[in-house]
Amino acid sequence: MPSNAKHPVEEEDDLDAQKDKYLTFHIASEDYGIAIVHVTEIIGMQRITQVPKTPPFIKGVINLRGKVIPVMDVRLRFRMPGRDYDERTCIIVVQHNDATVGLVVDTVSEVLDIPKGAIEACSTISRDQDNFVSGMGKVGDSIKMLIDVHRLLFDDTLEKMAAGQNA
Amino acid sequence: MSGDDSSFSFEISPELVAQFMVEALEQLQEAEATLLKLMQSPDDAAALQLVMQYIHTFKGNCGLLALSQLQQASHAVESLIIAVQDGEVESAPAVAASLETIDSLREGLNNFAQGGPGEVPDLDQVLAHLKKIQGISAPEAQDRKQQEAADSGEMVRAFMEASEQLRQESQRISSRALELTESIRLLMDSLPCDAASQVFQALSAALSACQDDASRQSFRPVIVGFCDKLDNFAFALLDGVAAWPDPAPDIDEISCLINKAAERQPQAAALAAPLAGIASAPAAEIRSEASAPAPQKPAAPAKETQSKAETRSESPAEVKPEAAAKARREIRVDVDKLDRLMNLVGELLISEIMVTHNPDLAGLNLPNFERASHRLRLITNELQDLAMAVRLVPISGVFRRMSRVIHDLKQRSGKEIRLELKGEDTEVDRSVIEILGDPLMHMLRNSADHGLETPEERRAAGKPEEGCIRLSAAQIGAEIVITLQDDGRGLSRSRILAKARQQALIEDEGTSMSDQDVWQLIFKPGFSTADTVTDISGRGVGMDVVRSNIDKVKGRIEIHSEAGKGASFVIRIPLSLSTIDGMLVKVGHVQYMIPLLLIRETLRPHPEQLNTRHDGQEFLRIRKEVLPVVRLHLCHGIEPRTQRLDEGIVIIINLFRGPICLFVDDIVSQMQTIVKPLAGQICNTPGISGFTILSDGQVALILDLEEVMQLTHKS
Repeated sequence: MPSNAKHPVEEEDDLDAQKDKYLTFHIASEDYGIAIVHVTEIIGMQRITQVPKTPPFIKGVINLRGKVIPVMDVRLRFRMPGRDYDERTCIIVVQHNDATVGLVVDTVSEVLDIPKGAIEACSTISRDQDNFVSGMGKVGDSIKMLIDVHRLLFDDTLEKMAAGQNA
Repeated sequence: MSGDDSSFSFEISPELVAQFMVEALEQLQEAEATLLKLMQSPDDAAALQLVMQYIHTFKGNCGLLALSQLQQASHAVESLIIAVQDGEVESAPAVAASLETIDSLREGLNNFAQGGPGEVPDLDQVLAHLKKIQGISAPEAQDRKQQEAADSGEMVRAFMEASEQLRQESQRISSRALELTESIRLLMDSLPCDAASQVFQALSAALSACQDDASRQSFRPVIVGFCDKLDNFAFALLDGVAAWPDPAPDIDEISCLINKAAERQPQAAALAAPLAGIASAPAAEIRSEASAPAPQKPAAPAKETQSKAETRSESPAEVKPEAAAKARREIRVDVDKLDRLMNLVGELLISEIMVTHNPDLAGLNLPNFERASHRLRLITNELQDLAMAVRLVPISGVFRRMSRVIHDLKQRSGKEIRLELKGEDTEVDRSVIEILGDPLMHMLRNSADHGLETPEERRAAGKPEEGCIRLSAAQIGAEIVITLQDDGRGLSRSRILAKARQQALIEDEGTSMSDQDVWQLIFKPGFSTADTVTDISGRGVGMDVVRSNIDKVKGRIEIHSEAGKGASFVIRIPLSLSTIDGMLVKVGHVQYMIPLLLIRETLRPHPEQLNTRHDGQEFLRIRKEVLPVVRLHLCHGIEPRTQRLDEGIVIIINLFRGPICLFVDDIVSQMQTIVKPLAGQICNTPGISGFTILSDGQVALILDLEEVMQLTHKS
C-alpha cells in the first residue's frame, strides 16, 4: 500500500484520518498498539471503586465526568503479575460496541502510523494471551503488538472467568 | 378516478411523512377509543362528532400525501358516521364496521410507512361493507356514481390542488388568493352546484373589496375553513354528489367580515347588500340538483335549514377552538432531547452536591454560603422535578389499547367480558409506557383466555355470566402500582405443577413449594397451561416476555390467586428510573446505596437477640418477630470491619418475601442520588442494580436486595 497522500478530503473524513493510526502503550517490556478509532481519551490514574464479585482484572469502576465506567487492568487481563500503580500509569478510555471501558496500562507512548502492509498476521501458536493480539506491526526495528479490542473486552474467557468467580 | 398522483405539485419531505405518520396513528387511536365508547353508549352525539373530526382530519392528511386508497376508505367511514348522525343508519353496526375499517386503515398506513403506496387490503370489500351498512346498495346508484366519479376524477384533482394552494396562500393573503378563489369559482360554475359557486363568488367579491391587510388577515380562518369544505366537496364528487353543505352560514360569515371591513373601508359596504340577498335565498334554490342520489334530508324551507345549519355548525365551532388552543400549547419534542435534559439535570444535581458538600468546607462556619447553597438546592430540586414531570405521560393510552384488545377477544372467544378501567390518568415515565404495553396485553389475554370461564361454566359456578376484568393504576408512594384482576377460576396449583414437571422446569413433585413460588413458575420461558393453543394465547411466549419487560424497568410482579374466585396480578414499578432516595452504608471498603423505600428501621442488636439455627442461619428476635440475618459481606466476599452483629448495624428491609435483617458495618448518610447505569456489561455483579456518584466524586454501588436474596438462596 502506498504511503498516504494528503488529500484535503481526508482531512474532512474523520474515520479516514484515523485509519492506520495506532496508540501505542507499554506493558512490562513490550509495546502494544490499539487502533485509534477505539480510543476516546487518556486519563491519569483515578480513585477506583472496587466492585465485588468481578474477575480480578476488573479493578472496579471510576467516575468519568459523571459517567460510571468499568476499569480493566490489562496486565492482569494478560495474566501477567500485577504491578503497583505509579505516576506513569495511565487509563486509556476505549469505546467499542456501546461499551466504554478504561484500560490500565504501564505507560502510554505515542500515536504511530502503521499501514496495513507493515502488519503481519499473528502466527497461531495458540496460547491464551495471544488471543488478544490480532497482528504484529513493524515500525522500524521494533515490533508493536496490535490488540484486538473486541477480544480484549468481550472474549468468552472473560465470561467464563467471571462465571468461575461468581460460583 | 385517476390514480396518477404525479400531478400533485406538493413536495413530500421525509419530515412531513414522519409527522404525518405520528399524527395519523394518533387520529386513528383517538377515533378508535371514541368508537369503543360509542359501543357502550351508541347515542352519544358528541362522541359521534368527535369520530367524525378525527376521521375527517385523517382523511385530509392522507389527501395531502395523495394516499388515495386511505382517503377512500376513511371517506366511506366518514359518510357512514354522518349517516348515523342524521339518524339514517343505526349506530351499533356502523360503529362496529368503522372499528374494523380502522384496522384496515392502520394496515394501509403500515404499508405506506414501509415504502408502499398506502394500500388498504381488500379495499373494495371494505368499501362495499361500509356502503352496505349505510344502505347504499342499489346497483343503479352505484353504476351511476362510478360513471360520474370517472367523469369528475379530473375535477376532483383540480379541486384538491386548488384547495391546497389556497390553504398555503392563506398564510399571507395577497392578490393571489383572489386569483385562486376566482379560478375555483370558475371550476364550480361548470358543475351543477350553484351553492358552492355562490359561496366562492361571495368570497372572491369579499376579497376584492378588502384592500387593506388588516381586513384580509381576518379572512384567514374563513379561507382555511373553506379549504376543508372544498376538500369535502371534492370527495363528495367521488360519490357523484356535488353538494356544498348549507352555504347560508358561510355566506353569512363572509358578509359579516365585509361588514367589519366596511367600518374601515366605506366602499366595501356596497358589497354587503347583495351578499345578504344571496344568504336569504330559499334553500331549495341553493341546493344542488346532483345531490339527489345521495341520502339527504328532504328540501326544507330556508328558515329550518338555517337553524339546522346553525346547530350543526355550533358543535364543531365549540370543539375546534378548544382543540386549537390545546394544539398550540403542546409541542412535540424528540425523546432524545428529553433524555439529555434529564441526564444534564442529573449531572447538575451531582455537581451541586459536590460543591455544597465539598470536603474542603468541612469545619468552616459559612452562614452566607449555607444560605446560598440552600437556595441552589431548592432550585435544582425543582428543576429535577420538572425535568421528570416532562417525561411523564398518562397511562390512559396503554389502557385504551386494552379496551380494544378485550373488544376483539370477546368476539373471538365467545366469552362475555367486561373490562373496568380505573386510574387512567395516572402518570408514568415515558420509557415505562413503552415497555408496559406488551406485557399488559399478554396478561390481559391470559386472564381472558385462561382465567375467565365460559358463560356455561360461570353459570354452573353461580357467578354472573359476564366475566369481569379490572385494570387499575395508581401511584402509591414512589411506586406505580398496576393491578389486573379477574373474577375467573384462579390459578390452579396442581395444573401449574403438572405442567412444570412436563416441561422439566421442576424436578420433584413440588409439594414443598409455597403458593407464591408455584405462581412464579408461570413466568418461566416456554410455560403455558392452556391445553389447546388458541388464536388468543397459549403459545407459551406470553408470561416470560411479561417478566423480562417488567424487569427492564426494575419492576416486580406479585400474583394473588384464590381458586374459584379469580386471580390478580400486581405490577409495581418505581416511579422514576433515574433518581432514588437512599441510605449510604459501608461494608469494609465498599459503599452501598440502599433504596430508602425498602428500609423499615435500623438498629444495633444486642447479643441476646441473636439465635443461630443448626445450619448456621442466624436469626434476630426483634420485638415479636424473628427475622433472618443476611450478611452482606458474605454475599459479596468482602472483608468487613467487624464480624460481630453487636458491633455493626442491622437494617431491617422489607422485601417481597418478607422482612430481612441486613448486616452492614456502618451507616454513612442518607441522600437523594441519581442512578447511573454502567456503560457496558463488563462487570455485571449480581445484587448490584446500578451506581451512583457521591459528593466527593466517589462511586457507590446501588444494592438490589431481591437479587441479593436470590444469591443467598442459591448458595
